[in-house]
Amino acid sequence: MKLKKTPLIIAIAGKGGVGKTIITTLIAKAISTSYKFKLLLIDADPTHPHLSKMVKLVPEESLEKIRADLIDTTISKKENVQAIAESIDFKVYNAIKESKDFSLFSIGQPEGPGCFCPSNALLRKVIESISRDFDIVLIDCEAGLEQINRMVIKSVDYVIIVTDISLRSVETAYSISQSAKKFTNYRKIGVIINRVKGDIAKITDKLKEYDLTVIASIPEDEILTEFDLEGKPIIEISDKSTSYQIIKDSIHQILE
Amino acid sequence: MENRVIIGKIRDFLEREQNSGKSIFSYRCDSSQINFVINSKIKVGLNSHKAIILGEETGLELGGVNRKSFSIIFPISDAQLVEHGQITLLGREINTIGETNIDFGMMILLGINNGNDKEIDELRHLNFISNGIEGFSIRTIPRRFWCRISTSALKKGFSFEFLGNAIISLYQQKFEGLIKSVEIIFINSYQDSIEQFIVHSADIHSKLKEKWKKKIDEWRKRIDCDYDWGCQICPYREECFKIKQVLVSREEI
Repeated sequence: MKLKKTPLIIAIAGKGGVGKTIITTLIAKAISTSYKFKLLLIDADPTHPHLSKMVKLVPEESLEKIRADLIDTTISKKENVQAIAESIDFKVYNAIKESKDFSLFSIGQPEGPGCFCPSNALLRKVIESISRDFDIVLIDCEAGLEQINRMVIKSVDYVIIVTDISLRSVETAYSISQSAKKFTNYRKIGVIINRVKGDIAKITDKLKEYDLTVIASIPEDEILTEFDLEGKPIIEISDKSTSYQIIKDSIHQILE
Repeated sequence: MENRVIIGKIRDFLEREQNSGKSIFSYRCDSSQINFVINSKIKVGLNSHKAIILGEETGLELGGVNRKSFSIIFPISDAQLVEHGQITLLGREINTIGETNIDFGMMILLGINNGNDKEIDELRHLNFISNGIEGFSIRTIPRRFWCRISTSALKKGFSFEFLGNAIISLYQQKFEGLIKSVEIIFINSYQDSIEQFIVHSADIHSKLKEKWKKKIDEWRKRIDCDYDWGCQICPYREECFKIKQVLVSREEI
């Protein structure tokens, strides 16, 4: 399969607790087992940074740590401007944890007060430059999309919104789709319905009304629930898991 | 400054370095270059070798955080100034290097047919080289250089002569019709030579910067601010100003 553009940037968004990080992990597993693309995962959820544990790849440093150091070094004049400018790309690249299947980069939790705008602008430039080394960038977002705009990357190709079967979650999906229109220049947008149980006609009708296409519907999955309960890395889930099978079957549609 | 003068200065620099007793290898790869790559035990092909070289698989790192490095890709339309197939190595060949991380600089001179801005910009992204050579992986750092060569590639005979040939072959495959000639200069082992080369190549940066100046100026004005109170009373004014300086400096390296 040939990607239409590289890097293909996919953002996974949705209301808290709907299973964004699990879906991100399953997509990462499906891409890395089915294709030979260079894949970068970005854990961009500062409040619940679980992606690294789910994919079993924990970086030593986060973007927030680099940002805090950058501000400290600049203000305290420990290094001159030129030296900081020359080293910043190396520092960010060093914070990427690599494996044979994919690489992972974590935004981390905010470490202190201060104005984020100029440092975010700088770090965003660096991340955009590093992203060019990858075919696909998969971002596990916190709820809402303003954060992508500010913290990670300006252009997103595909926004995938995860929802469960509650109406509130579907309404959040709609407001995220409106934010995506405002803050990104995405090419495609779609919804994955997670933890499907019983008749979901009301949910699918509502999504249709909101003009949101359903990419996949994932039923309650015993294997996945057991993994989650025991805190096992989801990346190691059996290929027989229903959730994984459905994501794997949808992956071509996601990447095209 | 004219391209002829810039390239003349670089050739004079290499000659001076050689006359001062530093080791220089000169490889030519004309029509036999394709065969050189085909016959090598290390495979080369566009988009065929995307594996990331992990730390534990690395045999040799070129450039990187704690080393002097540069990478310059200089596309020029006066293609006759580029000695097609010439690979110059100022420093040591890989089989005589004992360390696992060395200072490294690479200049790629490209003689091109008139291309548009997008095509010329594409010439300067090295990821197709990284994805095209077995056991070789580049981490893109603007204007600096950082790459890993795997232990198994080294065992198969990875050399700078091979790397030069592979780069020329990949450029010709990927940019067929745009590229007329390719010449490569590698510098390693001599930290002072790398530092001097960066100084000598400042004219190239000025020339390239001239081209992007308008874009950089426009971009400088575009740092969004979340605060509505205005710069005059902003408590983060000093920090903001300093980081903006870093931003601009990074663009100008």
